Amino acid sequence: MIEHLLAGFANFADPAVWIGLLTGTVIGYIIGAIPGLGPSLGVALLIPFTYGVNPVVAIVALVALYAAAEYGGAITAILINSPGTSAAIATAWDGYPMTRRGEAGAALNISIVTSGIGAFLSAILLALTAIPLSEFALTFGPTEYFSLAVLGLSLVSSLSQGSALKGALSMMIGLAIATVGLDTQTGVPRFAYIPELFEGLPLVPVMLGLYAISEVFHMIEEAKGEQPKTAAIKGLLAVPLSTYRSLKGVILQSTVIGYVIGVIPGAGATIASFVAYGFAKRTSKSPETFGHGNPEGVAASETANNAAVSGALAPLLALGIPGSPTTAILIGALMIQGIQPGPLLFTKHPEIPYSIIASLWIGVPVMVFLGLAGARLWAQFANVPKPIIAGTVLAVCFVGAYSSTNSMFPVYVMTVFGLIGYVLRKAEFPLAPIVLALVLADLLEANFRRAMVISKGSVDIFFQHPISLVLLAIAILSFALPALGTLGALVGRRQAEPADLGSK
Amino acid sequence: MERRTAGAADGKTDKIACRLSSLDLALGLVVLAAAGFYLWEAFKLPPPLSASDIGAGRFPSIVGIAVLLLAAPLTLHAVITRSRRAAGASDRRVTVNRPVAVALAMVMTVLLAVSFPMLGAYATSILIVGSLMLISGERRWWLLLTIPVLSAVLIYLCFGLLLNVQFP
Repeated sequence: MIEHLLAGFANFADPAVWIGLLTGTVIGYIIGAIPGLGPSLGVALLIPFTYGVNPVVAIVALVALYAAAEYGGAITAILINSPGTSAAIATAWDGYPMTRRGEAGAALNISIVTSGIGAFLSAILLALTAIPLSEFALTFGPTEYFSLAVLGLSLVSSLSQGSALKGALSMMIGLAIATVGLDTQTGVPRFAYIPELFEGLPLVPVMLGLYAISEVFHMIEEAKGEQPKTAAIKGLLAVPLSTYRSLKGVILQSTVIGYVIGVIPGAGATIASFVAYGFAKRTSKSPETFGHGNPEGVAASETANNAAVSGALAPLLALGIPGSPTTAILIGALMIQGIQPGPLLFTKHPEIPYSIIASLWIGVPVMVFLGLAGARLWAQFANVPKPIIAGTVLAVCFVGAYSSTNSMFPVYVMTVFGLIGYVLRKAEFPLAPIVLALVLADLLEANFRRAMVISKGSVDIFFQHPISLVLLAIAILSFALPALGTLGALVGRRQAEPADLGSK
Repeated sequence: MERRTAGAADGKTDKIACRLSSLDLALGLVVLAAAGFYLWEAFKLPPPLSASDIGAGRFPSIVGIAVLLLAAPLTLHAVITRSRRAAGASDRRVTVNRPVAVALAMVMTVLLAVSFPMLGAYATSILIVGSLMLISGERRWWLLLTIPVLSAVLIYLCFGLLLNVQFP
């Protein structure tokens, strides 16, 4: 492990890897600072730029973008109370009141530094857990893999915002889309009515359509709205060390919370920041000041959402299961490079996971330096008019989709999925389950079929293996518990209605 | 679907709105129809080559049935919500701000996707950025002239020069 880790660090002797790291970090800050653009869209947009690039450089750039975008969202959250990403909502609760008090610089400093610490500490947790987990996963057979994929999909669907039914339907629609193309085991064309569909629907154009094009249409809806100007930043470097000493406990607990929640597929950085914020408030000596500009609130949220990045990478690297929509898109990027994530990644392509771990550590000082030095600049990106962003994003999507195979078919696919994505978002269908289903469908079907061959067509095999049984039980619970909660709430409301009517 | 004009900071903001249940009903019916067709096609797939395999059609069949089973309650829920609306049950609204601009942007996107092979990547990029900016309400002529050209230059530098992509 140490040997491979050192090799991961040695990759940074190549200037191209540094260029990837810096480019990813800068673009991540810009993407994060612009409200509406998040890490998922940023990673999807950067993928076309990585075609033909060395896989290590490509993946380092994409992971750096992911981490920096999670931080970038805090800039506008603190300065104009408009979180650049959903993971920065909790940051705004205390960050913006600090800005109104004239402490914007201090709030930004705390958010940048705690983001860096969260990323650094969680990368240690990633190295300590992902590698043993991947070794354990080497013992998995088809039943365990099938159940793992089911668990990943069910958690993402049930933890998605809004209706669990819509989450589940999104997931199944994603699986249906993924079955288009030649059957990998028999070579039979399935739903492939034109030759272009024989290889299935191309992953990156579908993602660009669902995330980027649909977002462009949303931007047009808001384009003429008033764009708040960012506040002046004063005292960015005037935060005493004693402030960080007092935040030590919050940073440590938020790192662990962020990492653990990040590991759970579907939970992600947003839930991590809310949970860490809530925990920090409960354990604080002055909980009444939360929401009124308490630096502990900023530190908790920012540490956790950056720690969740490493957490989300753990199942991706060790099991090939994405922990968040952004890591699902990262899987797409790896697949384009001909690399299959999963337990064999550590033995077949050790340069990829170890470079990612090394980049998370090396990237921290880079991220903190660029964050502090460029804070005023990143903040200005929030003022870029939406029409310019919408037009530029659409143009990059077009050429990016074309570049994926140097043909027009991906452009048409992207356009169609852009329109579908917009309608689905309007109807409050989560998009993450569709993307995850597209990524996991192969794993799911291939292992289902292998297991069925072993069991001679009996589904009992999935319940005879203890690991598989536990994974499936968690998957069922992840749907059943929210459904029971909704049912309980409905019954409670019904019982309350007569009482309310009576009181009127 | 309702259409109205509301006052906004920039003058007037046009918007259309419909009930979420109406959208759910429409989508539910579309998904049900698509799933029915998908399932029909899945059942037509050839049987397995050997007795131990499940064949190319089993997995899509399971997926198709699951889509039907999930789309049915969604559609039913939408119908129930719509029927109870008269009795005062809550039904959220889905709003589309600036619907004409959004529709125009969609049409432009489709048109430019179709004309991409004829116009080439750089001309398409200029047209995409320019038209989207115009549709989005940008009226500063110097931005409308410079940003599209700069975007095309950026695309040429990154894709054409650096990544050596051969565009039509």
